[in-house]
Amino acid sequence: MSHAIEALLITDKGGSPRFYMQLDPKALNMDPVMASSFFAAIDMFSKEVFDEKAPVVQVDYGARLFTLINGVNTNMIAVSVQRLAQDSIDVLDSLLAEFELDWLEVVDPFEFSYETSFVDVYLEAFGERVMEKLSLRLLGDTWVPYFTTKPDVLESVFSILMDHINGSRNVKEIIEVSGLSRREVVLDLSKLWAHRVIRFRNMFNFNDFMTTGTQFVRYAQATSSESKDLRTLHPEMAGVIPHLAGLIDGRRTVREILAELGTRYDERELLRALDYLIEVGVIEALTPEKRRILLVKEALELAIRVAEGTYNVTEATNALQFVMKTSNAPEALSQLQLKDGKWVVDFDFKILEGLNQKRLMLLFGEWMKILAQFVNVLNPAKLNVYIGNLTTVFSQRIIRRYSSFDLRGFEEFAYWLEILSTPTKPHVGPIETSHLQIAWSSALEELAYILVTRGHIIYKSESITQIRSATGTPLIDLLPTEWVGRDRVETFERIMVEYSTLGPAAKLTLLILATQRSVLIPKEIII
Amino acid sequence: MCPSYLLKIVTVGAASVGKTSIIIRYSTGSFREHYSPTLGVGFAYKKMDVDEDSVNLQIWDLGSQDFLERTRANYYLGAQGVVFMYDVTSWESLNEVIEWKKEVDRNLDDYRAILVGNKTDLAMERVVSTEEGEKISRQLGVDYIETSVRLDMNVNTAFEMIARSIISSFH
Repeated sequence: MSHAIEALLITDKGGSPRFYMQLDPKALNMDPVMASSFFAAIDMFSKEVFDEKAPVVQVDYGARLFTLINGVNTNMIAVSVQRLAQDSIDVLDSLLAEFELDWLEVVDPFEFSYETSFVDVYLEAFGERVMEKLSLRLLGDTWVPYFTTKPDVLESVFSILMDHINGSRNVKEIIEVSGLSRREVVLDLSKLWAHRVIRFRNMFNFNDFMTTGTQFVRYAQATSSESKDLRTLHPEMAGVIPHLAGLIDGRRTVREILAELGTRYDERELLRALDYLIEVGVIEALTPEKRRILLVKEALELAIRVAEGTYNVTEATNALQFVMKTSNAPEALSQLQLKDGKWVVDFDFKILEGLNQKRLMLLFGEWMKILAQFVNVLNPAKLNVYIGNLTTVFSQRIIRRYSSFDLRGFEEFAYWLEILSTPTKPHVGPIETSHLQIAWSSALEELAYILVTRGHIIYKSESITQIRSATGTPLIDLLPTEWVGRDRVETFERIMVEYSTLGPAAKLTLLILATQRSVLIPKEIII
Repeated sequence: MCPSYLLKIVTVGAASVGKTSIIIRYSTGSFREHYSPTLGVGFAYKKMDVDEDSVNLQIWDLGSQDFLERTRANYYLGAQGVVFMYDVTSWESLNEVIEWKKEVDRNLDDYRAILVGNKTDLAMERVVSTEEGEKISRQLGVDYIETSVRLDMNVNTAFEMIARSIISSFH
């Protein structure tokens, strides 16, 4: 089954950890003792969290979502990046019941040795059951499993893949060579992973943006001990890495790096080198927070270049210098650099090393502020032309290049452009909302709701009334589900087309909102 | 027949204290997991009953960035209620509430307000005590409540408090 669970934690009702298991090899390790303390603190603070009347509670915690399931004697916490489907929750519920009935009383985690952690004691037995039911999350065809210990000394684990895992075959090849079904292979790999006798390489996604850390420079110095060791152990890799160095710049994806070097080097050799550098911790794929920062920095770089073309270099420079006076975030200011008479954005991510998620998100906000202010101080006389040019460039270079996940929050910039470019005074008083309730059953309905509410404020109610007339829909008076007798998709498309004509930035708002929700936009709006 | 009220409320406070999140939580029941600064102006509404009165609450989400002050000034017009928000894990955000009060006073003559201390779920990171929050609320002359938007604690109560306060001013 497909699910989004990265890790599972079971604690007793006193908050002590009883079982922990990471299900996603790519996920960051969570300290189960720390996590247990965290949930114990929440439990003390809020009885709602582990309330028996609410057997399943989901708590958003920044980039992660915790699903808490109340058992009789224990609580289970599943860590995921997105909301779990009911079928996943049902599986977790049955696993928790099994743990309490078959494992909790049977094994005392500290019975064997004080040296042995509770995790290891339960892992081999119950962990295998977990993997049988949940298996590895999104096991990629290109992942290459390899043994962390010699296969011939494995006594406790039986594997049907023992002869097929050789450290170079990927999952797809193992399926082909073994003649087993994908499900059989995934289950067996899951079991081996649960017992920690295999690891994976080649795990990154081709769409990952790669960046170097401070220590990477050691691999670009011929006399460093790291380079010397590499030349001894992997001479081919030592020759490839210097060529990769200039391309791992925080802006290029793995796919783009391979495209650049693919004609000169074997792709497998390049991937092996990237794996090695990830393994030794000197390069990394950008985290979701850093991807959002990259997006807004690229948007600023493009906004400056488009301003230089629509206005001129002097006006663009003056605008940016004015904005820089108002910023007090050194992590952002230090990455705006004057080169050959033009201001450019530095995309090196080392400046963000060691920063926590909260600071990263505040920096995302700072870059958004710089971008918004920059446009705000440009000469309004040419603003409509500028926004038109910017929309075309963003459509090609931002909206098509990034994932919907990366675009979260970027719609605020489009709203800002809409406000700046709307000559009518915005609607500021209470709005007659009649009896509309906020509920939608599809992405299209949510999109229509956002356009109507935002549109009321930005373009005043009269504009929304015009859309209402043109589309023949009640819009704010009735829920979309109550628009009976109409072709709903056609109606929504009509709303989008009408909205796109309200102002020069309306199209950009539509493009972003639709991409975020994977909604197809009418061809009239496509740029 | 019971009166039906249309009330305009604005939320103000330092960046990232949870202004947009509390509005989304209240109006849709969901929690926005990512932070994004509000640059435009957000808007949501919800019907509620206060005793026997039917209330249509319109909540306006004003961006907190300093350069938006002139833009914000427009949107205070007609507001009867103000939700001042701070983050209990940040002293700065509580101190900024005093400045936000000054800005609101420059733009509104007559309004009711509450002070909301958000993010109480971050118990380990908390630096502002309930007593400190209450002390500032007394200085401002407004009611005080603590919320956890993430855990959906006291969110409805906070909006009920401000609605009740506004309606009582009508009588």
